[in-house]
Amino acid sequence: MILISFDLILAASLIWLAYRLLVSDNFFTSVVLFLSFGLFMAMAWVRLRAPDVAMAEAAIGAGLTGALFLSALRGVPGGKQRERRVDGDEIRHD
Amino acid sequence: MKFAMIKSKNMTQRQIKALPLFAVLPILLGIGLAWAYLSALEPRPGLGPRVAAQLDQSGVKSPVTAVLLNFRGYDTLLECFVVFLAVLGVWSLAPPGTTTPPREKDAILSSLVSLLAPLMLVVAGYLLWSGDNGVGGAFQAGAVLGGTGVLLHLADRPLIRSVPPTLLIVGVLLGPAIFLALAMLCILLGYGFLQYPPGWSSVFITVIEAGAALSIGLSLATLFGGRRPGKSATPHNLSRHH
Repeated sequence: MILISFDLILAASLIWLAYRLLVSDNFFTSVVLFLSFGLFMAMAWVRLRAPDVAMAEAAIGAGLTGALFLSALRGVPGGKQRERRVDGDEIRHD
Repeated sequence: MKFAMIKSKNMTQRQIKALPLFAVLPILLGIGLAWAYLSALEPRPGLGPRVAAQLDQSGVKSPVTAVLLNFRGYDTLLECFVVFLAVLGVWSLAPPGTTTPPREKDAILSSLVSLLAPLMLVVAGYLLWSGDNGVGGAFQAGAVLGGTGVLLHLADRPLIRSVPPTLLIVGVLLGPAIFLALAMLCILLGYGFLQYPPGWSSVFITVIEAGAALSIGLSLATLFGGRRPGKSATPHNLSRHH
């Protein structure tokens, strides 16, 4: 019962995250939501008993693609000021 | 001023028009996934039993690795070349040898990375080794290696830039080349393409996985921090950076 409700919450969060990241008009918000989508997706793969795919999803989908998106934001018009804010956040959290 | 107002109004109208689409698509996807899940609940024989029956001959104990590198090795060979193609794409778009503008030195990030990087290399080696028995494998190990490269790049320890261009190209090509060479060797030995000689599967798979992991890691790190190996990527440029 607990597992089924966990699965339902997981599936609902995935759809909600996908919707939010598609309608967001801020690129940085979209990238962060994409990162969280990747992590939730990895959890979904674990629940589907596919740990290999889960690891690849967490490393590629959430980690490397996110890093590539963040560095691509620098080349997008209007992404530059936000990119500076990203750096400030990174310094504070790391 | 007026033009800008109209433009922004149009933008919002377009977004409002697109909203139902973005709402409907995930819902349709959700319904489809729910249907797939419910239809998967009824027991039906998948390919699992057939894989399990042949597992002894595959040379590895993990069914996932057996499928990826033995039964369906052709797909994995093509995937290795897809990663290589992605690197070629980045190299053809990025200017040669230019360095990214030096960031401010971050002492905390730098020391954290110097702690993490050796650990991540060990984890990558472990994942590669454990791929034969359980969770792990070349792609996961390569992903961890690629992540290490990205971290080193962010901490202003430009790993990819300090690798000599020729060595970088060799490293990125090594995995696909080994894979293809061993696949051809199978033909020369009188078996089919990628049909490992009996008793040698384990050795073939281990060599292919090691090469693939190295190349995937190098490729992923190159995608993030790499520039096309070119004339300006000379030691002169590198020494100027530090």
